[in-house]
Amino acid sequence: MRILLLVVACVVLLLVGALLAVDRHAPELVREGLVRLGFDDLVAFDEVHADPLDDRVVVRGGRLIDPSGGQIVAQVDTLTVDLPPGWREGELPMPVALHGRGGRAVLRWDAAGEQLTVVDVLVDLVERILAMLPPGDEHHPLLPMTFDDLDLVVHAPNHPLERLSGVSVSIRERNAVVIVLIQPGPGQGEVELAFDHDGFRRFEAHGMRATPTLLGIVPEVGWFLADGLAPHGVVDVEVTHTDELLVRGRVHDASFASPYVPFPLGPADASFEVVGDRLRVDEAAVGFEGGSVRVSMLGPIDDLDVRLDVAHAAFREELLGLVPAYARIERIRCHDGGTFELGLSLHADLTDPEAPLSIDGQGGFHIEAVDVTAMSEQPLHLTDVVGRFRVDDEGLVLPDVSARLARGSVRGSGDVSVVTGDYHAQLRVEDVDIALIHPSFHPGCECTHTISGWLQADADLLGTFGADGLPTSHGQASVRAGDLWDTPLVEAVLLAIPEIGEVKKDRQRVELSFSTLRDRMTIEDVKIASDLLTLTGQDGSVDLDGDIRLKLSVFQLPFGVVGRVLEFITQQLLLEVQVEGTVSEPVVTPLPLPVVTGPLRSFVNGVLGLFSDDEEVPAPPPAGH
Amino acid sequence: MSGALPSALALTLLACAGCAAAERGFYAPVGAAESPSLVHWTEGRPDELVFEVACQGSYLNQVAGRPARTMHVQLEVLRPREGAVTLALDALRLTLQPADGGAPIDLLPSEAWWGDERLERALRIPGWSRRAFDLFFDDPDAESAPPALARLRWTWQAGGDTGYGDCQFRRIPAGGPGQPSLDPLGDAAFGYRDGFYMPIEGDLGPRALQKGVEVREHYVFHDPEGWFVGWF
Repeated sequence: MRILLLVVACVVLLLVGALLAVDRHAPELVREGLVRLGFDDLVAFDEVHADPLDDRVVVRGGRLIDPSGGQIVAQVDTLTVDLPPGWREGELPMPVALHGRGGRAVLRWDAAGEQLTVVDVLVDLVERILAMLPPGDEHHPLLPMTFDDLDLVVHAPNHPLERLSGVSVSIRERNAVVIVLIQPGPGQGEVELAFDHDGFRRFEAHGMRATPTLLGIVPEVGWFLADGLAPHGVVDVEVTHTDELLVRGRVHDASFASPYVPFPLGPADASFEVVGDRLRVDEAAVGFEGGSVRVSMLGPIDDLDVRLDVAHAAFREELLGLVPAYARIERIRCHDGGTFELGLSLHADLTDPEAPLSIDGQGGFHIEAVDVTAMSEQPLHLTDVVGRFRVDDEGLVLPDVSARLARGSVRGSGDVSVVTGDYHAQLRVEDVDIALIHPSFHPGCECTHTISGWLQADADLLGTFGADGLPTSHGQASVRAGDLWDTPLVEAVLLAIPEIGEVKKDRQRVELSFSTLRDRMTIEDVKIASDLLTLTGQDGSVDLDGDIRLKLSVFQLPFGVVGRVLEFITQQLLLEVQVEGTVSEPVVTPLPLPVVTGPLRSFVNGVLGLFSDDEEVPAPPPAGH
Repeated sequence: MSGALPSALALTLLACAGCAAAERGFYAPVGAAESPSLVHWTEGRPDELVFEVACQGSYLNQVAGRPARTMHVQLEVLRPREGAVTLALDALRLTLQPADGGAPIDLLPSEAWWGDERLERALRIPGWSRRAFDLFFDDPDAESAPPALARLRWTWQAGGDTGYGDCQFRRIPAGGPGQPSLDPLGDAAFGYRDGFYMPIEGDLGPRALQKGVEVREHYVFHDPEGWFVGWF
C-alpha cells in the first residue's frame, strides 16, 4: 500500500508541476508555483521543456525530497504531459494524459525497523494536496496516467536488498474510485490499489514476489516473514483498512530458506490473515523433500501460538538438524530412508530471538539405517530403528526404541536434553551375533580373529552428547554358545599356562558385569567358561586406546552344581595370571603358584580326566538366527 | 552340558522312559532358496506394517503332562507408523497338510508369548514399535508325522483398517540341504543354532518358560537334556 502511495503521490506531484510548467518561462513559473503552494521543500526538478508544436510538456529529473533532511527519496527521469491540441501559450490547459518513464524510489527502514522515510514524505505530500482541493472536485474525472521502467528498491537492515525493476504503473478512474495498477514486469504479477475521496480503500496483489510485497504492506509481520521464513514465491494479498488493518492473502508456489530450518522448505501454499497485530494461518501446507508440514499460527507475533503437524513423511538425516544437540552427536549417524510423524505446539515471541521457546509435542520415527560408533572406527550398523518420542521444554523423551542389530535386536528408552545434550538411557541387547559386531569393539585395531556367539546385555548409560570418551554406564552382558578361543586374550592365557595342556575347544559362556567412565571400562566381574576350562576375573579395566589390566583366575572344572561346589573349593588352588598390554596384544604373566596347590591341582586334573570326551565334536559356530 | 558320562546317562534315562527319538520337521518358506540358516518369510509395506514369520519346526513335546506335536512359529511385526495393530489369537490359524496326504488340520494357537510374557487374547503392536512373538500350535495327535506343509493365516486390525496375512512353509527334506545339524547343542540354555530352535532329534520335554538371567527376544521353552543338566 505504501509503495503505491509513493507512486500515486509522485504522479499527482508531477501533474501539478506539469500544469504549471506550460509556459515559455516554465521552470521559473513552476518553481514559483511550488513555493506558492508550499511544496518546494518536498518536490524539485531539473528542467521543464514545453513545445507547443508537439502539444506536450516534458519534465526531467523530478524528485521527491524528505523535508526533514533534504534527502531525495524518489525520482522520475522523464514525465511527459500530453496537452489538448490547439492550446495556446500562457494558458493552463487541462492535460489529457500523462506518461512517465524511468526513475526509482527507495523504501528504507531505519535500524529500528519501523520508519519508512519515503512513506512519511508521501503521506505529507498527499495530505497537502488533499487540503488544497475544493469541495466537490473529487468528481472531476482523472486523466489517465502511465509510468514505465521504474525501479523500486527496498532497503532493510540485515536483510538482502530487494529490487523490483521495470515496474509499470497505470492509474485510471472508475466509478469515482481511482485504481492504481502496478506491474513489476511480464509474468511477475500485479498490484491493484483503490482510493476514493476518503483515501485508501483496498490493496490487492496477485502473483507478486512474496518478500517485498509482505514487507511493504505489513511491516511488522513482514519482518517476521522476511527474516524468519525468507520466502521466495508469489503472493495474493487483499488489504483493507477500516477500524483496523485487515490483510488476507495466500502465498503459493513458495519456498523458504529460513535460518531456523536447516533445509529448504517448499513448495508452500498458505492462506494467512492479519487483523490488527494478530496473525492467523490455518493449516498451511509447506512442503519439504519427502513430505509436508501443516502449519497453523495464531496471535500477535510477540505472543504467537504455532502448531506443526507432519504426517508420514520420508525421513532424511538433514531433518535432525532441527534437534539442537544432533550436531554434537558424533557417534550416531542416521542415514536417509524411513518415515516419521510429528505433532508440535510452539509458543514463541518472534520479535526476540533470545526469548525462550515453549515446545510440546510427540511423534514417531522409523529410520532404516543408523551407524553407531562404539570403540573402533568400524561402526555398528543398526537397521529398522523404530520408536516414539515426546518433546517439551526440558528435552526429548524416547520411551520405546528398538532396532535390528546383527541378527538380534537392541531396545532402549531414555531422555535427552535438547539444550545441553545430556542423556540418560537404558539399553538392552538381545541375541546379537558377536561375529558381526566384535570389530566395533576393538580400539585401534583391525580384528581378524574368528569370534562367534550370541550376546545379551543390559546397560544404564549417562552422558552428554559431544563429550569426549565413553558415557558413564553400568551393566552386564553375557555371551551364549560362544566361540572365543581365537581371541587374543584367551590365546595368550593358554600359551602362558602350559599346565592347562590341550583344551577341548567347545562352546563357551561369558558373563560380564562392567561399568564405564570417561575413557575407561571397568570389568567388575568376568567369567569365560567352557565345559572344562574357566577364566574368572575381577576389577580389571580396558581403556579406549585398548590398554588392558586384568587379573584372571584359571581353573579346569566342569559346569553345574557339582562344578560350582568344586569351584568354590578350588578357589584356593587355582592358577592366576596378570593380563596387561592391549586388547589386541595382551601380555599374560602367570602369578606364582602356592606350594600346596601344585599337587592338589594335579589331583583335580586327574579327576577331571574322567569327564573328558575326546570323541565329541564341538558344534560349529552359529551362522544365523 | 556335554561329556560322555552325562550324555550316556541322558540317553539311558530317555530310553528308560520309553521316549524313542521323535521325528523333527524343519521348514522353509515356500519358494525360498535353500539356506544353512533359518529362512524368514517377510511381507508388508516398510512404511506401514511388516510381518516376518519363521517356522521353527514341528517337534514332539509335553504340554500339561501330555505329549503333543507342536508347530512352533515365530512372528515379528514392525509397525513403523502411528496406531496400534492387533492380531486376535482366535484369528490366527495354522493349517497343516499331513505328510500322508490326509485331510488338512486347522489349529488355533495354544500358547502365545511376547518374550517372557504370555498373551491370552491378542498380539498387540503399538504404533512405532516392533514386537516378536512365539506361537505354539499343538496337535494332540502326538503320533502324527511332521506335516508336509504349514500355512499360517491371520487377520490384523489397526484403527478402522483390517488386513490379512498368509504365508506357507514347506518341510525341508530330512537330511537334505537346508536342514540344520542335529548334533547336540553346544549351549542348550541358548537354545538355538543357525537360527533354528532346539535343532535336535527327540522329544523336547515339558514345555515351560525356562528360567534365565538374560533378557531374550525369543526365550527358551524346553530343557531337552533333562533334570540332570547342570549337575556336572
